Amino acid sequence: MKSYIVPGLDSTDKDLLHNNGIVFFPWNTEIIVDESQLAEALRLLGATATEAATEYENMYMLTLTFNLPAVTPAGEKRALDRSRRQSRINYIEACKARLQEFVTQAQTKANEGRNKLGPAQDSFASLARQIFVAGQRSDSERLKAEFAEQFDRLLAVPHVKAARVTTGAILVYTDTICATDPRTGLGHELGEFLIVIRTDGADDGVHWFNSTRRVRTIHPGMNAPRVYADGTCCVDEIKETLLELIAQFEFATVAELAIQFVETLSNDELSKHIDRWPLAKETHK
Amino acid sequence: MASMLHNAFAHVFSFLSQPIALAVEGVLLLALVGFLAAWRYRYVKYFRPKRYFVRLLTSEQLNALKHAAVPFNTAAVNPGEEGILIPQPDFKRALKALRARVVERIDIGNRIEETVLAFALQCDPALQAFQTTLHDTTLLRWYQRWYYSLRYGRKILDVVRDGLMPSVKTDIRVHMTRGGVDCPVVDESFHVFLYAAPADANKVRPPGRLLGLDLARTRGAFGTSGQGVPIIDETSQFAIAELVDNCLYVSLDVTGTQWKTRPDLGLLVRVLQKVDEELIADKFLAEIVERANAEHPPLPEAPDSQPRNVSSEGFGGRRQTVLTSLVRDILLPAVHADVLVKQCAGSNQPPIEDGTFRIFFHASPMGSMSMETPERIWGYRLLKRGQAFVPSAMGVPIIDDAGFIVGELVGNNLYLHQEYIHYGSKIEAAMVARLLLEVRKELHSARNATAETLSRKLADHFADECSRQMKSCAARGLKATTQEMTKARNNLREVIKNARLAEGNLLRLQAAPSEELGREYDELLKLANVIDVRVSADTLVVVTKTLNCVHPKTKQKHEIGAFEIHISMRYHTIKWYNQTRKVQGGRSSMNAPHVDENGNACFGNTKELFPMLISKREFASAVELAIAFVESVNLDDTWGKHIVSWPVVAE
Repeated sequence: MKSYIVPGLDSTDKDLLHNNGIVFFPWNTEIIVDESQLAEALRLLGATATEAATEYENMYMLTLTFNLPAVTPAGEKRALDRSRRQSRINYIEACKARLQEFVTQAQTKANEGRNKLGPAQDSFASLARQIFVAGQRSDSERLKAEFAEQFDRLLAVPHVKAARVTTGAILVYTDTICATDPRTGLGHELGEFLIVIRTDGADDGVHWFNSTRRVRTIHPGMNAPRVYADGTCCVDEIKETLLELIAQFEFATVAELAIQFVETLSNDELSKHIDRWPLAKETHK
Repeated sequence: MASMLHNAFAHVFSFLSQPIALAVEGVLLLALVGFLAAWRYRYVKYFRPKRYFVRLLTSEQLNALKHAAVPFNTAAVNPGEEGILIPQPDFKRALKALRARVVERIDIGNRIEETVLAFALQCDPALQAFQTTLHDTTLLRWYQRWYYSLRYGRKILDVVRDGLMPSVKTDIRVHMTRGGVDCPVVDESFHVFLYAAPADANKVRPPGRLLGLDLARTRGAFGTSGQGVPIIDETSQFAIAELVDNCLYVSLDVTGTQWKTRPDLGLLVRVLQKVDEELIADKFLAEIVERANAEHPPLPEAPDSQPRNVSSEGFGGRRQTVLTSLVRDILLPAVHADVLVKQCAGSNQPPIEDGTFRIFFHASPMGSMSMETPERIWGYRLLKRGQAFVPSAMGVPIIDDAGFIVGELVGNNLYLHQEYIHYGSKIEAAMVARLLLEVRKELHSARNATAETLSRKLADHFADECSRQMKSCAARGLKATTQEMTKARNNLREVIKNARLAEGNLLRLQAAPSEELGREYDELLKLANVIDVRVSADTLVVVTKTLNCVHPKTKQKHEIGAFEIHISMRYHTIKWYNQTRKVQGGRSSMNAPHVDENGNACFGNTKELFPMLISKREFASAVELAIAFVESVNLDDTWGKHIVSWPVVAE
């Protein structure tokens, strides 16, 4: 019987397979699935696969392609007649050769944007901090008291379960956070979060890590609909606000905003995949 | 020479008796010696160095100089290149006190000479039994081998023996590889390969200055093969050698470019000094632990504490020694439990609470490896970079000074997100020591906190961190102006706007790649004058509204007609079919002023344009151009001047 090495699965994917009765064997970071289980495993993962022979007999390495639910913008609204719809399909088929070029161009532009964002953020955070520090008139004792009060306010922020401080960062642990899908009105449970706030505002300032589950949407291992696997959020105006608040040592407000950010969805491409997170318990009831 | 002088004197003073002649001869010789001594005193001292610069001396060696009452003072020839200056009259005594000999001299100006020293072995009878031999197989001719061996062989062997023998207690075989590849040898001896690599490694250009010595730019060097412990020069971060088990590969060309060339013994001495530091793991581990304990002293052991054990799984050899030693010395006093260090090779490991403290290398309780490891962690360069786990957020993150989350402490389980120790080298040991120290601090603070004081302690810690940030900002002494701030804010907003747009486009494309093409089809339908676009397997047909063309001279608008434009995706051709009328104009039944009865156009100098666009599947541009082609006319063309044959549109 053939066996297949399945690469690139994270713990969420493995849990999904395990919970649905798929028997697999760990193989370094990959897993091995038998031929009899492969079709069901691929169906559960929502992926198609191509196989390649390995140095071992009857063992094949798979390359997975994850099929995301095709999102046709305003698809339902568009009243295409049958022939035009067929033409559209034919047009897409005819031009598929240009897809890679599209992706490469978009990737390059996005990388350029991100590369410029880092220095712009650092410069802004640094200047904002300098202005705040220069404007401080309180003596050190009073400042300490203010900071201690700030910490109490941080602990009182809704959803904040605990907070810790390490050199250079404040760690905010939250309870379960949910987000509502604006299209359906249904609440989805995102999970518990660790929010890491850099006290100097460097390196994006705030990172979000989901300690309950990571979900594959457009990218694998997403911490929240708009938070990537590395804990950074998508490019959003909130970055400016967060950095300014960090510069002013308003960490309670930073935590509050950071929680609101994951709770709130907009109409962007990432938010559309909120349905990948399980429904909140209250919604079930 | 002496007999010649004597004969000359005998000839000149032949008129004197022999005793008197001998006396005169003696006086004159004494005068000559006196003159030479005076000349040397007067002139030679001006050419001799005044002071000698010596670097890389250990504290013991400096103490030996002090005990021998050798005066010296510290100095640096370049930033970061510190050493000591010894006055010339005391240099001999210094060499004696250090039991050293000069291998190389370099004039560094201002009558200062830098000396590269090799230190003689102590008279350990156990070491005398071991031999150092030279193996030269790269020189093919026997006389070349003999020449090299006789002239330089002994010098090379002495340098290698003096450099390595205190650490290497076995026979040493020196292989003159001269820029080749030599596979590692596994036997009882220690092998030194000069200018060699253990496997096919890229040749790289070494920096101009290395280990305090100027290198000729033309010289080559090997990059690291990744098979063993790279020996790194801290100043230039260049790998100077590689240690693969009992084989040392010197990456630099120390042998000389030709068979007659003198080997670079000074460079070899310096390389071996660095290698020696790596070889004595016990010594550098002791230094690292001492430094760590000085930074954050360990808490005293509880009186009832049991003897604890450190075990490891998945580690072997030097890595195991270094790891277990560091864990024992730094972490064990803080955890008060047995410690298990486990190599997990990038897998998820559930936290276990059974009284044993576990360190999972390259693991996380959940999630996958999707973060690029930074180049440095706590300032220590990673010898190998790779993918690291993203934090699970289940415990307390251990964060380096640049904000990278190195690992996590989940109860009694320490997860390290990357494989931080590949070879057990000194630099890796220093980095792991720092990591363990941070964990110890975390454990201490958790142990000391009681439920009542925890909240207050946290608030104080928070206030301290904020105050520290304020002080560090104030200490930099920078004061931003409001204008600078406004400029930075506007810049950030602009960058966010553009980056958001670019990210949105990419995400849309990644979410539904083919939809981008569907959108393009939709855009085609929205083009001016386009009614429909039908696409079959190999042809794209664009149905247009009635197209008009303006006569460039009369400015009258002529109605050409409604068109079907056929684009063949197979043959990369384009044809125009007028659905309203065909006109006698140049030829019979013309579809448009420049389109004949078969739908073929007279393109002129643009005939390559349409096939190019069609082959690249740039249909939107092709359709726009195809419509514009019908709507324009060139009166100089034979067909173009028949535009007047098309009916004029009534105003």
